[in-house]
Amino acid sequence: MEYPKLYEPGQLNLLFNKREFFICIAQGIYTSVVLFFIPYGVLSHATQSNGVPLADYQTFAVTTATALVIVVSVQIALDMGYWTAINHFFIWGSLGTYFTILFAMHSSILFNIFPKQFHFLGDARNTLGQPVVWLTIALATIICIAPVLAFRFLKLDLKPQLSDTVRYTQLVLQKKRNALGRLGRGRSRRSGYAFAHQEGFGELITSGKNMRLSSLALATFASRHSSSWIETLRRKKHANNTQNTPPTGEDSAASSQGPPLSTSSSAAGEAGQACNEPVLTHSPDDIALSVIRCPEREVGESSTRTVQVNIHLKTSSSRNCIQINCMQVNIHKYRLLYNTGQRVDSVGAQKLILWIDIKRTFPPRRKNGRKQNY
Amino acid sequence: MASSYNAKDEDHHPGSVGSGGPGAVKSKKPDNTAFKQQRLPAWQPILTAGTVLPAFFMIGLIFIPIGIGLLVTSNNIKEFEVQYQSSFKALHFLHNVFMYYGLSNFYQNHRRYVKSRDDSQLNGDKSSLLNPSKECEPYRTSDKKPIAPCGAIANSLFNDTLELFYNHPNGSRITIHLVKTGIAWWTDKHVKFRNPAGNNNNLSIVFQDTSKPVNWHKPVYELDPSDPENNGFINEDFIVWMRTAALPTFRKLYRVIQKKKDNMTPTLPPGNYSLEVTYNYPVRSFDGRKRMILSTISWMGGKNPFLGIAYITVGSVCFFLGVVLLIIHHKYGNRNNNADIPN
Repeated sequence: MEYPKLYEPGQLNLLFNKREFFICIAQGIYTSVVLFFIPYGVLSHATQSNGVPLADYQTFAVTTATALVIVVSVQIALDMGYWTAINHFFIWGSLGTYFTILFAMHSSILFNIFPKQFHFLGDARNTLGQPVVWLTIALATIICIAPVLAFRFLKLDLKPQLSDTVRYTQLVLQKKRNALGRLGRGRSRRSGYAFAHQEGFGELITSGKNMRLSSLALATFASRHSSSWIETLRRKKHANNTQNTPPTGEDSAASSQGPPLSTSSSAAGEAGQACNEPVLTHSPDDIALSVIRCPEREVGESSTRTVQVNIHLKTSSSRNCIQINCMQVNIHKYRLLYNTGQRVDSVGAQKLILWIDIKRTFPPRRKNGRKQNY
Repeated sequence: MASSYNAKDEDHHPGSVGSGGPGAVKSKKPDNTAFKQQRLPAWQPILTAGTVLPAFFMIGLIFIPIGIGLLVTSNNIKEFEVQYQSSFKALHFLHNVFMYYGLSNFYQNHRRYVKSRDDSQLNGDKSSLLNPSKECEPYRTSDKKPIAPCGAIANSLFNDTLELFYNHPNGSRITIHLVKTGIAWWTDKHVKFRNPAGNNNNLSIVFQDTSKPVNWHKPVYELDPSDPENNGFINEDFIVWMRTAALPTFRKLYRVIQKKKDNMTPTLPPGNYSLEVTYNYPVRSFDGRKRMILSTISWMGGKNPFLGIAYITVGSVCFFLGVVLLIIHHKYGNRNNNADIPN
């Protein structure tokens, strides 16, 4: 639940809908056509180096089947973003098993037992020993994979999704860490966090870095499309720097503007401390965000900070759904602020890290702006 | 929903007894191993511009020279096709010359045709010799005796004989020696096809209770009486024919003209040649065509410009695609992917 926004593509049915299905079908048809016609074009006039023509039905079959297995394995490898030892074992093992079974079925032992069933005798060794056949397989593989690679790269480059950005971020951070001579190898280790395909933040936290939500981070995190809110933020942040000097150097996420929300007073009352006035931001759309920060207080040997984020829906719509990507991470445990009005308690935290994801990875939905990222 | 975290679970060690005794609750927390906590070391490849663009350029740069090499090799191969004319002028051949017969519009890949054979009979199995499999129908028995070899593939064996003569300028005709062995797959000749009872010598006795296929002129044990290693089921012309072709226009190796021992005399010196065909094989009924092909061979086989051209094309397309992707990435790429989170 570190990045609840990463669940959004699933909720929006972005990854497996009719369009994606038909794209898959089209890719399958293209691959089938390539895998038939390339061996057809090559082998129909090919001969072995001893003059025997390669245009017989069994050579054709072995070439096409091997090319198919290799193309599919490469496609799977492209899809895998996280290669543990288990992944390696199964992918290379699958290829190895295919060749083992192929050679076993074309062996003379099985032929002598069942001549009618295993009549592909000697085919594998004969066919796969020809350089022409391997050149054909390589050609078919490249023709099948190059468009996929180009499409994926363009998609990542021009319209990265949040999960891609997060993955890239982690990789960059990890490379920086490794450059400092920690592990020396480009490997990542998973922590036991809920999003199973991503590395968690355990390493990051225990490294002792204090990450601040500076305007620079805001700017780099935002896409080009959502600019107005950031500009407002920046201006207000510079304006309010003298006013709100946070004890630990945290930035306030917004400036005070407009009337405080009605639900905010309860937070101040519950905390029992003199919390700041809620700072309100006006959003361009129908959602207002306010952040209340209370100063640090000592509870036993640890200090806590309470942050409350309130959401106020200006317009109501049955399809409105709010997600806040705001997380607080501490060393020992984490909690996620999810619903409005819930308080976050951080016990045992030494540093409070507040990330508000303001990146808009795609234009607002046509309907009525279901998902807002702030 | 917010993940509820029970403070009690935090410090509960797996298997710790706590207060001891049978009342202790066993922790359901998985062991703190790398495997169970999903902390396995892993390699995390990501498609960045730094990997994809060089990959495309490399593919282009590798494929284009390979294609050029294949095309040049293929163009050096001399091939000569003759549509069964009586005489022609041959080119200058220096290496082994291979003689093929080619058929067009002959569907050896027809499904029912491909199944019409008995591999255990061809392997020399005695019981299959006298009782061929049902797949061979209707070419299974004739004159109440089982057919050896049975099936439609065997029945349609190509039986034209081609002979090559060199018309010497002084008027004489020299027969070119054609080698008829070494034209089939080694596994076919030595493992898959065996004469019954392993006996290559008295084949007429071995095949005595069988009849010849319907369309053949002579029985199987007279395919090559002069050479017992090439007679019966292990006759190489027969083996070559039984390896069904994949396409309706195909060619099969017929004979080899071996190069001269001194490596200097051309195998087929330039001049006038004549091809004599004993026309046995009827193709007109299905609008088929026959031809004879003479060809030399290189390491990659015969004349095959398709592979060279395909490699050059794919290499150029990949290179061009790499250039296009580079331009797109340069102009529109999202460079702000990296989150530089300052200290």
